[in-house]
Amino acid sequence: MTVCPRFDTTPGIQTAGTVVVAMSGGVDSSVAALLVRQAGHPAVGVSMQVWDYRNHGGSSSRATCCAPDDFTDARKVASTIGIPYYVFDFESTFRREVIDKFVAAYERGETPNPCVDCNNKVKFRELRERARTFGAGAVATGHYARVLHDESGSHLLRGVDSAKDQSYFLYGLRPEELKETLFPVGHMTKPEVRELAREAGLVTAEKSESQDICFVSGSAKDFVQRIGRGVKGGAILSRTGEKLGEHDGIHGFTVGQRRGIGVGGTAEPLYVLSIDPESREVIVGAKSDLEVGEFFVQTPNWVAPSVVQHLASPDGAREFKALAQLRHRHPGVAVDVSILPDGTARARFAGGWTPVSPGQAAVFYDLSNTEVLGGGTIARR
Amino acid sequence: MGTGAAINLDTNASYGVLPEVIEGVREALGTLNPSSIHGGGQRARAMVELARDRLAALLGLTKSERIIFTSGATEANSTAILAPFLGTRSQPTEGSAQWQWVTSAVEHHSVLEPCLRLGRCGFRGMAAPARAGYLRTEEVANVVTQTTQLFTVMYANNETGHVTPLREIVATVRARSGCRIHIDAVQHLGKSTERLFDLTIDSASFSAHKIGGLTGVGALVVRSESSFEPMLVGGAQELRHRAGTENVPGIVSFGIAADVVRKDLGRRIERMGSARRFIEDSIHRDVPNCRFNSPAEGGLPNTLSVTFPGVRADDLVVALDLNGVYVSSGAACASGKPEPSHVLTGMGLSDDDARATIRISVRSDHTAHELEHATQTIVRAVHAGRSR
Repeated sequence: MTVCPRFDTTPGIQTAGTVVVAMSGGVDSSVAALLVRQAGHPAVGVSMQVWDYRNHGGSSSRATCCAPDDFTDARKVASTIGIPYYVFDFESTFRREVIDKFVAAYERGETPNPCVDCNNKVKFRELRERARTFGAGAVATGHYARVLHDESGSHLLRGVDSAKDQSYFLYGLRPEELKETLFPVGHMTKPEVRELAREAGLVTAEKSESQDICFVSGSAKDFVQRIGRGVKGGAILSRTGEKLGEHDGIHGFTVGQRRGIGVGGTAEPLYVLSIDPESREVIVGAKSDLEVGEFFVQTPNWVAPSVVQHLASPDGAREFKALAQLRHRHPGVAVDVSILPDGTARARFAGGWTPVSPGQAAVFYDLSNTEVLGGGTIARR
Repeated sequence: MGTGAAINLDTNASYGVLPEVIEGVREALGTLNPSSIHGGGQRARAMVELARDRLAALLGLTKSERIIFTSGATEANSTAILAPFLGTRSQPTEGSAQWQWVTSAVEHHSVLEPCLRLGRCGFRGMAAPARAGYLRTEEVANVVTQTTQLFTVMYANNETGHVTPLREIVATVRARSGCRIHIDAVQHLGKSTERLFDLTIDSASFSAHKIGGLTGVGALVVRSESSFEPMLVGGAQELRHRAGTENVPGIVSFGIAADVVRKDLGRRIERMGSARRFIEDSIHRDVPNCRFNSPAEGGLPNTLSVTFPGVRADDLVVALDLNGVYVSSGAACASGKPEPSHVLTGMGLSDDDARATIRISVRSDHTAHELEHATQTIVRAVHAGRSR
C-alpha cells in the first residue's frame, strides 16, 4: 500500500499496488503518467483500443483517437518515462456502452454524452477490473479534475484550470471508485502541463488536442447517418403546427439549438423546442418558448460524501441548494434540488433559467462551485 | 514486478541470442562487402561461406541443395510462393477443382498473405481447412492436380506445435502433380532431427533468430535444379538468386547458432520436452478448467498452447510480463488490436476461447527453479484473472 504525496494531499489515504495510467497519446495523459512515476508508484501505461479507425472514416488527421500515431506516441512517452506500455482491446465494450447509446440517443431525439458513458463504463470500470488481473488497484487519467480525501470520504473537485476543467464528465464515478482514482494534472493549468512535458522531453509536449468526440471524424450527424439505422427526413413545425420547412434527419437537432435549423425569414431567431422521434417532427420557436421552471434527473449518481451520507440516513435531508451545469462549458445556474422518494432529482431554477436538453448530463456542484455533488441524465419532459 | 532476468517462454517468437553468437559475431561487425575483390571482401566472403557450410551441416544437405540467405523467413516465403508465378499469366480454368496454388488454412501470415496476393493477381488457389491443427492427407488428395503449380505447407504450427505428416502429404502431392512443394520450416530448426530434404520437396524457409541467431536474417533452401525468378534483382549475390549486399553479421550469427544446435540437438530436444511436460503437468494439476490445444505427443517438443476459459489472454500476457515471464497470446496485432488467432479458430475454437489462449514455448536450458517460478506465476495469474 502506498500513499500518493503530490496530488493526494491528505495523509493516510492509500492506493494499493500498481497504478494503471490510461494513456490516449495526448499530452495530458502523458504528463499524468510522468507524475505518477515521479511520485514513485509502480505504474503501467495502457491505451484502450476502442474503435477501429480503419473501418470508420480513418484519415491521417488527428481528429479521431486510436489512430496508430496516438499509440506510437503513447508508447514513446511510456518508454521515455520508463514504464511498461500495453494496448488493450475494449472494442466490444465501447461499442455496447458508448457507440450504440450515442446513436440510439440521437435517434430518440436526444443529445447524447458519449464521454460520460465512456468514463463510467469503460475508463473507470472495465479498465480497472481488467487491471486487477495484474495487481493494479488505482486508475490514473489525464483529466483536469481533482480528488481530495478526508475523514468524510473522497471528494471530486473541479480542476484548477477552469478553462480546461473536465469534472463535468466525471460525475458518474462511484465513491468507492473515486477512492482509487488519481487525477495527477488536475491541480495544474494546461500551460504548466505542457511545460512539464517539454522539460521531460515527452514527444507529446506540443501535440494539439482534438476538440471532437474521439470516435467521430467529421460531424456527429454524418456519423449517425453512417452507423445508425438509416435516417429519414421530416417536417419543421412552429408551436402552432405551421410547417416552416423540412429537415433530413432528427439527429441533426438538439433541444435549445439555434444554428443550423435551415429555416429563415422570421423576425426572431428560432430555437429547437422539441424533437419527436416517432413523427420526426422538429418543433421550433422563440427562445422564451424554451423556458421551463424545473427539470428532472432520473437516476442520479451522488458523489459528494455529504450527499451520500444524507441519503444513507432515512431522516437525512433531501433538499439542498446547488449550481447546475447542463452542458460542458456552461457557467452553471442556481437550482434548488429535491430528491424524490424514488431517487429522482428535481431541480428548480432558483434564479435565471437556461435551456434544458433531454439526454444531456446535468451536474450539480456545491455553492462554491468547486465540488461535484453528483449528476445524471436529464429526463424528457 | 519480477526481479532478475525475465524467463523467456516465448521462444517460438524469438529464442534469445546465444552467448556463442554474441562472442562470435564480434569479428563480423567490422567486415566489408563480400563481393569486393580485395582482402577485406575476401575475409567477409569467407565468413559468409563458413556460415553456409554450418547451416548445411545442421540441415544434412548435400550438393543437391543450395542455401540462399535472405532477410528472414518472411522474405524466403514470399520468394518461394511468388517467384514461380512471376512472369507467367494467370490462366482461366474450367471446373472447380483446378487450383493453381494450394496451402493450409493454419499457415503463418507470411505464407497466407503472398498466397492471397496470388489470388488478387488472378491465380486461383485455396487454403485447405486443418481442423485437426495440421493439414491431413485427405484434405490435400482432392485438391492438388496437374494444374497446381505450387503446394506449400508448414513443417509445424508455431502456435500449437502440431507437426504436419509431411512424408505422406508430400507423397500424395507428388502422385498427383508436378507442382513445386515449399515447406515453411521455421519451427523445424533446433526442434527436430528429421531431414527435410530427404523428402522430394523443392524448397524450405528458415529463420536465424528462432535458434538464437540475430533477427533480420533467414534462409531459403532450394533444390539446385529448381530455377526460379529472383524477387530481388540488381546484383549477383547468392548465385544471382537474391541481390543485395549480404548481412554478414546476421549470416555469421546464423552459422554459429546452427553449429551450437547441431552439436547438441538430441539433448536440446529432450530438455525442451521435459520442460514443456513439467509446465503442462503443473498447470493441469493446479488450474481447473483448462484445455491444451497442443498434441499430447508427436508435436514440437517445446510448444504448449493452453486455453483458460474465463481469462482474457491479453490480460494474462501482461500480468506475466509484469512478473518476469514472457509468453504470447498467439494473436496478430494490427493497429494494436489483437485479432483472435486464425489457427485456433481454424481448429474450431470459439472466438472467446481463442482470446483465452496463451502459447508457451520453452528453451532447452531452463533451470528447475525457473520452471517452478514460471509455473507458479502462471497459475497465480490465471486465478487472479478468474476472480474478477
